[in-house]
Amino acid sequence: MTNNEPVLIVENLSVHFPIGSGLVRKAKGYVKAVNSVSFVINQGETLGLVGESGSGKTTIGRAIVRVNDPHEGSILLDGHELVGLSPKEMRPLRRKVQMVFQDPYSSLDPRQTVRQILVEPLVTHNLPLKNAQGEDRVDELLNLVGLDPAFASRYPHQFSGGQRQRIGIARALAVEPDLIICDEPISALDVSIQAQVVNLLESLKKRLGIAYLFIAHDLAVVRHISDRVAVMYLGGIVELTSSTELYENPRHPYTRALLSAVPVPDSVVEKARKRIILQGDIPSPTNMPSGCAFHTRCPLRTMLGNPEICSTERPELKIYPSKKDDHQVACHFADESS
Amino acid sequence: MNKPLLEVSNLQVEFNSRQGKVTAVRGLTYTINEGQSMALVGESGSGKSVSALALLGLLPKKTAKITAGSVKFRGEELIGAPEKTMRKLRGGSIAMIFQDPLSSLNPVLTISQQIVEQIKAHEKMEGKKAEERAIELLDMVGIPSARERVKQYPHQLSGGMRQRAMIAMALSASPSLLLADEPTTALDVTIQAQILELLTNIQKDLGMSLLLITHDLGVVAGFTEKLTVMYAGKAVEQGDTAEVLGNPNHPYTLGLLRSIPRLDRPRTSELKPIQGVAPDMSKVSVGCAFQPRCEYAQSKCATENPLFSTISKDRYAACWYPQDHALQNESLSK
Ligand SMILES: Nc1ncnc2c1ncn2[C@@H]1O[C@H](COP(=O)(O)OP(=O)(O)OP(=O)(O)O)[C@@H](O)[C@H]1O
Ligand SMILES: Nc1ncnc2c1ncn2[C@@H]1O[C@H](COP(=O)(O)OP(=O)(O)O)[C@@H](O)[C@H]1O
Ligand code: SF4
Ligand code: SF4
Ligand SMILES: [Mg+2]
Ligand SMILES: [Mg+2]
Repeated sequence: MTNNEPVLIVENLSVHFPIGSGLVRKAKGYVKAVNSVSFVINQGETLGLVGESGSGKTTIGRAIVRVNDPHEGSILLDGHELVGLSPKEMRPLRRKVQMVFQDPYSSLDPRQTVRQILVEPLVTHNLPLKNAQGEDRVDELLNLVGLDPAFASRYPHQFSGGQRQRIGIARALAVEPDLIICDEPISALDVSIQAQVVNLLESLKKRLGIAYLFIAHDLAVVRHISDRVAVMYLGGIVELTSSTELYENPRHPYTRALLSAVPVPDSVVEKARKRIILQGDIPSPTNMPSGCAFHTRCPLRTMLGNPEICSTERPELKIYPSKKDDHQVACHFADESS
Repeated sequence: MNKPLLEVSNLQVEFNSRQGKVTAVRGLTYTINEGQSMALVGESGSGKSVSALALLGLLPKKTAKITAGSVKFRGEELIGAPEKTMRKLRGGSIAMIFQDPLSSLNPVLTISQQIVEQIKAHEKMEGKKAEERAIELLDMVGIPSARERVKQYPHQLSGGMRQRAMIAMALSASPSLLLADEPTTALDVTIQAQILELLTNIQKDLGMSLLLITHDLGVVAGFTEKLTVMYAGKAVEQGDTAEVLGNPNHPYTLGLLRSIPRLDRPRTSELKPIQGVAPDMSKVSVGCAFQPRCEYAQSKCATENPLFSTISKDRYAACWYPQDHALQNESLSK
């Protein structure tokens, strides 16, 4: 279902938050949440975004919907530049990209019925309340996400977590977006419910041709749902390639550590495996390490006898020659990590 | 090694509040031997945390009541035991760590002060010596420059370090049993691996028993020997971890294992979820609580409650029609 028309092109995106600045005071420094990130999402494609807490995933999502103001860079949505637009100029484009959030409890207004929740975006964007066949749009949306249209008069607290997440997805679908940013959409749900929501997202993608930016912690779910995957560390993408290639042939030492840390539900596999245990904690984005952001914890750097370049020069994300796919890695020694 | 340390049988816990009655634990039975690690898994709300709090006598006195069952620690009955006995056990022979270390550490005391306080509650030791012991413990749980860190407050530590500090504190009285309720759920996967490796190494070195509450079946496989699966307040399956995960008997365990994508299996085109949702714990259930979601249910399941009983050697399940699926040979999902 993917075709190669990009719906989103992000180029050199940086988002920095000032620390301790007020109206008059000057910023004491910056939280460098996202640094020169570039990627493309094609129509009907799912790009997975993984990385540790604080690595900048949500910040990227929020920059695309312009909740966060980029410090520099470009965001092209369906060919329109979003960076620098006023809220008014943004409004017609805002329809094209929607968000689904982690917490199905706090992201729905408890005082609104499901009908009110779903009608609101239609009214905001001057969209008809009936579809071309004359069917009520609310009914259509509820059917689409697998909920009984009779539920339209109920309130959010009358639903389970998984059902609330379906309502959140229906709300995002109401304005017929080209791209939905899903920020940890299943991590608040029970394991037995997660698969229901993953299947729903996949079937909607097949039927409606929507593209997703799928942000998640669970690397197995990300492999399952994504066409391509970007791995983030401390505000930068360190590796980006097809889902199959990333999991079969990871090149960046951080990706390797990440994958080796995921336990699988098979005792035999678990007893036999060797984990790459990373030393220390993730550094603070207010005080970024010099050179390669990963150098303070990188096992490959240690193995190579601490080459100077790791701590002096930031490695760019560049194509690593691979037989199968485009495979981009940000490491000076990507060739040696076999 | 095969001496039972903790024996829980038919535990039942009820809450009575203004919102009505909730029977949170409806029959939980397990034994943890000395030096053994057991995982307790189940959906949120299935009664895992409540059952752990019940062991320690930490349920809210006003609203909660243990309505049936027995909890024996080294053969001694804990249900109805005097508060003095329980206070001595808690943080002594039985220690507990929780999911969120920030809310269980005192924000206004330094790490050192908190560990020292804990040590002194269970052992006569002079201040200086207790402080040295605190540093030793932090060192043991892998906190770098423990001598400096010990003077810091909880908010000055990262999530992973706070969890290590919690572990250090829990270990201060050399407990025989550690209850860990989702100790790594709030942490990133690389940090989770560090912490769990640490926990299980210490567990083996000290010959401690471990009750690990989690919803992550990967964690279960990697770090525990025995497994109890709970559904709607009851134990529904139990056995050796490798055997239960490799060959689940209860349809819920089977459904759970089939619904998750796995990195150790080829990528599948579609996941196979368990349909429906978990039951409301304020309702009384007739028959098998899993029946509305069970693809193997037959008419008997709706009316008669299956007892938790032996299926094969050292394997237990609560099901009228236990399954026999060797998951190693099954390509999971469609
Ligand atoms: N409004 C803000 N002001 C200051 N700093 C911020 C703000 N929003 C985010 N940050 C910082 O930017 C960095 C990236 O945060 P972000 O929320 O994007 O992480 P994430 O990858 O989504 O993490 P998680 O997995 O925990 O959701 C963090 O250090 C965070 O503390
Ligand atoms: N203090 C309380 N008062 C009333 N009900 C409670 C209380 N604590 C837990 N419960 C209920 O008991 C059941 C089991 O909860 P819990 O043991 O916390 O589940 P989990 O398996 O997620 O740890 C749930 O239905 C929960 O809502
Ligand atoms: S550039 Fe150096 S420090 Fe960075 S990932 Fe590669 S080897 Fe490690
Ligand atoms: S008793 Fe019946 S409904 Fe319950 S798990 Fe077994 S087969 Fe399913
Ligand atoms: Mg986030
Ligand atoms: Mg709990």
